Amino acid sequence: MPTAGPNFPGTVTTAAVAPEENNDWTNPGNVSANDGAEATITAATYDANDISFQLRARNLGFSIPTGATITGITVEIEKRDQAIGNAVDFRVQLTDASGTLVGDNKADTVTGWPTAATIITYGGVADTWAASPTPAMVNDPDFGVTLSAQATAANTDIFVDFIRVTITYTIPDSKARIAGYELEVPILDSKARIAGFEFETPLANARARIAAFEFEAPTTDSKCRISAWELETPDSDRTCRIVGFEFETPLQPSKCQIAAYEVEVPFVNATCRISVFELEAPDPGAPGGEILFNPIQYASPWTR
Amino acid sequence: MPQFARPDADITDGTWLNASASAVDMFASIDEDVSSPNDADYIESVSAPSSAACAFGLSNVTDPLSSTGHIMRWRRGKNVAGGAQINLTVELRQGYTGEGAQGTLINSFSDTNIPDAFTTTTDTLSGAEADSITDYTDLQVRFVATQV
Repeated sequence: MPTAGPNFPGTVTTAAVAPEENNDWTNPGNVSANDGAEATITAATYDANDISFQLRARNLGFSIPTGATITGITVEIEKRDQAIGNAVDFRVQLTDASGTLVGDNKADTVTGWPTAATIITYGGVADTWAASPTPAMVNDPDFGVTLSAQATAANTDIFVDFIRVTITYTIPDSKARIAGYELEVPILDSKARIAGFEFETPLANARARIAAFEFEAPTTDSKCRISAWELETPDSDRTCRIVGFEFETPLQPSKCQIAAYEVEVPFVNATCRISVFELEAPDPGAPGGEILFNPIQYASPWTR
Repeated sequence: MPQFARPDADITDGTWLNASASAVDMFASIDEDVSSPNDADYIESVSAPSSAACAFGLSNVTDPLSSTGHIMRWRRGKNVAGGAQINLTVELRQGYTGEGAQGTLINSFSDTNIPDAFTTTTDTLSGAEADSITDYTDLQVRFVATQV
């Protein structure tokens, strides 16, 4: 069973609240540590039946999980007086998130404080002090312990070294939930560029050359291949023909687009027109795959 | 524009269920765009899980021929605010076919003390991890939840 603490108070004050109003504490902040430095009442006026001011130990600094159920609160007070029977508890009680006294007053109004510094325990791991404590309550800076003592003899002297608190709680079992998952993988934009391209024609001494030919292809691992590509010439019995043309891009799925295309042919006064131009992608069904081609027509000087 | 591999098949359901308490096609509960989540649609472990595993096949993506930009992104939470701490391990695997044949571990992220409310977190694969992927059509994600 999880526990938190023991925690010491970050804030200690005193208050006169009837009937706890006869004698104030000296150095109340000394109860914030287990160091031998004590809060005291040593005034000669602290006599039988006098009740001390309230010593309020708060701001305990708990961070109990919001879903927890608090099952116990343990308060430990190290205290003493100068002679057995000189003082008894008047109040050992919790304060809630508004600083208001709440639940059981666990003061032992019978047993005198010990003459040697002794840790007295109040509550326990299964004792909630009838205070219905919640995580919000014990986490609040105003949650704490209020102590007062009643003298049983003339000129009583009492001493408190520290007050500390331990919270015992349970946490409900949890289930993990997952609402979504994805693995993001980049697609690299790239440009396939042909720096040089030549083909032969059946025209004597003729050579057509592509000076610039580019594909912008944001695709991966695909192979774009021109399967048919023809040029019409003014000579009906002659055909410019590309025997084979192939290039690869590192990209898939494909969107191959001709960004620039140019043919130089050694003819004049003729029109060179691409009649068939196809691209085959080996992965035509790939998601997002698309091949774009706009027919291009050239007015080109021919020479023979 | 990146591409995304998202769950598209159940491989190991284990003790996990979807929001309708069904183990059928649980992948459909976690396959949405994480940047536009549907938190009413989720999968859930048993209460107080102890090494509770489930695994899903991921949709195919193409090899980017790049070692960068591989980002796992998931959205997780708990059923109880303030409930017991749960640690979630998120593994990217290749060739996983079942708990007895878990293939190659590409990346593992220890998502310690997952939050109460659904929150998205990410893990970027290192270059070496990305390079260890040899088949982008055979990737799986495996979740393992343990209550502390």
